[in-house]
Order: sequence, then structure tokens, then C-alpha cells
Amino acid sequence: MWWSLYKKEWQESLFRFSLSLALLTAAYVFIYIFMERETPLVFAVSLAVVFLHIFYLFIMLLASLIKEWKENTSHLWMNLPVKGYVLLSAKLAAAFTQFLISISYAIVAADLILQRAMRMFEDSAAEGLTGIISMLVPLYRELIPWVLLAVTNGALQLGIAAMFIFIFSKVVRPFGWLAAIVLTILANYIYTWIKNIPLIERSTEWLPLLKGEEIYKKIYALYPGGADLMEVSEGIMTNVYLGQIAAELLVLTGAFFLISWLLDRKVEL
Amino acid sequence: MNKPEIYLKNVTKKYLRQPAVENISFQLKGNGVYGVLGENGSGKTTLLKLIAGLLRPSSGTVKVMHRPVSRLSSKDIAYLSDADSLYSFQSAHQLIHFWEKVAPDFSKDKAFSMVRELNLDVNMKIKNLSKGNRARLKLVIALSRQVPVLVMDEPLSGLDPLVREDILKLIVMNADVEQQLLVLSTHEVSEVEAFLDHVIFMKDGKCILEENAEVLREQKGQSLVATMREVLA
Repeated sequence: MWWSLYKKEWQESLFRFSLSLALLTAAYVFIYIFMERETPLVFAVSLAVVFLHIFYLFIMLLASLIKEWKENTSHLWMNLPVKGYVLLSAKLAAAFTQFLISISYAIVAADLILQRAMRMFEDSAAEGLTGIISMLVPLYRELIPWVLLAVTNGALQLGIAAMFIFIFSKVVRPFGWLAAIVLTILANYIYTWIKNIPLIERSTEWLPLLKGEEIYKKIYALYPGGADLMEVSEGIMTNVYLGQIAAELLVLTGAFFLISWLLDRKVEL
Repeated sequence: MNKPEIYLKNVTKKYLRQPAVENISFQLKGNGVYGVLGENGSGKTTLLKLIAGLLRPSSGTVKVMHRPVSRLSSKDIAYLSDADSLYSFQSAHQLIHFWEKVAPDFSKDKAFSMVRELNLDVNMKIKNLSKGNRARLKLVIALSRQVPVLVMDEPLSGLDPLVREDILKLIVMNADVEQQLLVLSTHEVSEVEAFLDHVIFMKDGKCILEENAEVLREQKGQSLVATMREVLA
């Protein structure tokens, strides 16, 4: 049952997905050409494109739900004899699969762009910069799993927020969407406040996955005099713990089931 | 299949402050064809969406099969919308297989047999089907569900006479009126009169008459069309 819904969602979003991949390709081609013609520094835009994936699920899920209502297929979708969490999880899973494909593609493309930029830098850079430049690619490769983790976490949060905003707009009319945006911001504020309570914070700090200090060391090592800067920045160095990720996922799962309940009990056509 | 039942008590639905249906109460019990009749804008669609659990009443109670309705009532109710509500990227074949997988009450064999009878091209994308064929296919899906309650909103609306005849034939031959309670709304009363067991007349969001069709014909000594004209005047 779930698999059929997933396939339906995949089929429904195929055009949007293909379009996003085409746009991504066009962006990278543009960056490459611009790099060749103007300056290799444009490579930084390719890294920004990876980070922009944080909005992927927000846009795709919102587009899917809006289309469901705009094309009146919501009459059929809402009458499927299936629990709300099954309907929404199929939508979320299809969009998440496409997100993973798209971000993987962006990461590989950014890697290629970075390599090309480094070669161009090496050809033209002053003697002292060559060392720094040669460290950029390995650093990118070392940090990209953590970038992927952070972007995925952000994308999931925004994806769930998109679902909530849309579903709530069909519960409270008019201006339900506005109330939902306010509620989302408020909930995020409260959640941040709660997770920063020392007791809660300590309870999630188990199994460190990434030590902030090590990352900063690597980044600052790129700059001459980086050690001095590091001392200034020590206050913002944080670690990533598996406990924190588990807590985030738990909260997102709770929010997801709340939205599913709204779909089953409160949403109107 | 459990004996079908729909129960409404003092149901009002308002959009902002404007009532679309007002203080409606009735109980439909047992199998048969129930017609919700009235002019455009009389509140028929709102009433049917309330019964299907796709709208929440502003006040009052709606129960189907003894339970308050919600979207989850879809396991007891097949709802046919008046809108073009099929996924245009699917073919009829994909649509039927999709329903077979998601609805345990769905009969794939019945659906394919109806599609064959209608000579529909099962491999053609729905977006390429004619309006009439899309309406037929939508009906095939609703009629293939073995649920106690079938709710059909204006199944004949906006279709040419030949398609309307086809649709009526499809409903009469495939709705299990010995087991199911079929509620259909229409303003084309003359075409459906012969099939109706019970009628609900709606005007300006209010239920102005609810009666057994045969009793009404005997009492008034005239057809339902004439009664509708008289009642809604």
C-alpha cells in the first residue's frame, strides 16, 4: 500500500524533479564557464548550491500539496482509505529520495568544480598560496559528510514546517498559513530554549560524532596566523553528538504525527 | 458489509459567517438510492462533503455507520467529486492498480469489467481522455469500492446527454443497492427520478423536504420533477 503511494508521489513529482536537476546542471555549467572566463573564485557558488538544498524539501513538499489542491486531486487523495501518516510519509519519502539524489549530484559537481578551480589557482597563484589551495579539496571531502548531515537536518525541519503550514492553512481559514508561520517560529523558539537548558543539553551530549575544535583547526590552518584567530573563536566551537541528532529526529517525528492527526481529523477540502 | 446508516443532527456549516447549510437533521438508514435535489447553490455539495467527512460542521453532529465522520470515514464511504479529481499522469490501468493496492475494499475485477464494457483505453494517460471518459473512469473507481456508503456529487453535471445516459446505466448496473446506501446529488431530477428510493430537497442551504420517493408520488399525485418545482418555487 505504502509503496503504491510512494510510486504515485514519485510519478507526480517527476517533472519538478527533472526540472530541478536541469536547473542544477545549468547552474554548474554556468559556474564552470564563468570560472574559465572570469575568475576561478566563482567556485564558491558551487558550494553555496549544496547549502541551498536546505530549502529543497520545503519547496518540493509545498509544491506537491499545493498541486494536490489546485488540480482537485485532493478530493481523491483525501478519500483514500489510508491513515494520514501513510499519505504524508509517502509524500515525504518521495521528496526526500529526490533530495538525496539532488544533493549527491550537487556535492559531486561541486567537487569537480573545486578541483578545476584549484588547478586554475595553482597555475596562477603566488608561491605562498599553493599550499593553502592544495588543502582545499581534501578539506572539502573531509567536511562534506558533516555538511550533508547539517543540510539534511535543516531540510527535514523545513520540509516538516512546509507540511504544517499547508495543512494548517486547510484547518483554519482564512489566514491559517499566516498563523502556521507564526506558530512554527514560536515552536522553534521554544524548542531552542528547551534544548539549551543545561540539564537537557547535557542529557543529549552522548556519543560525540564531530568535534568542532578539530574542524576549526583545519579551517584556520588555511590562513596565515590562524592560531590567533582560533583563540578568539573558541566560544563558538561546538561538538555534534549522536544524542542531539536523535533528539532532533524525535521532535521531527512528533511534529510529523501531529500534522498527520490534523490531516485525518481537522483538514477540510 | 454492515447495514449502512447516515445520521445528521442540527448540522450547520458556515464559511466565515455565511451559512452554506443550516440546521439540517435527517437519518438515512439501510440500502437504496437517496437523491439530494436542489438548484445550483442550494448547499448540495457542502452537505455531501459533510457526509463524506471532508468538511467539519460549524455546529451539529454528522455520523456515518454510528461514528462521527472525519477523513478516516473514507474506509466506509466512497466519495465521487463533481470535480475532475483523477491523477492526470496515470493511465486507467495504473489508476485501477493503484486503488487495488491502497483500498482493501476495491474490486479490481469489477473495475476492469466496467472499463471493458465502456471500451475505455486502459493504457491512455488520463489527461488524454475526453471529459466524458474521465467522468466514466471516476465513476468506475467509486463503484468498484465495496463500502456501505457511496456519495456521488453531481455525477451527471456538465456532460452531454449520451454520456449522462451511460453514467446512469453504469450506476444502476454496478451500484450494489441491495447492500449499499447511495447518496447522489443532482439538479437533473427527470433523469434520475426512476432510480430514487428517497429524496431530500434542498433550498438556500436548508432541507425543506425529506421523504420516501414512492410515498411522495402517492401523496402529491405527481412526478418528483413536478414536486420539486412546487417545493422549490
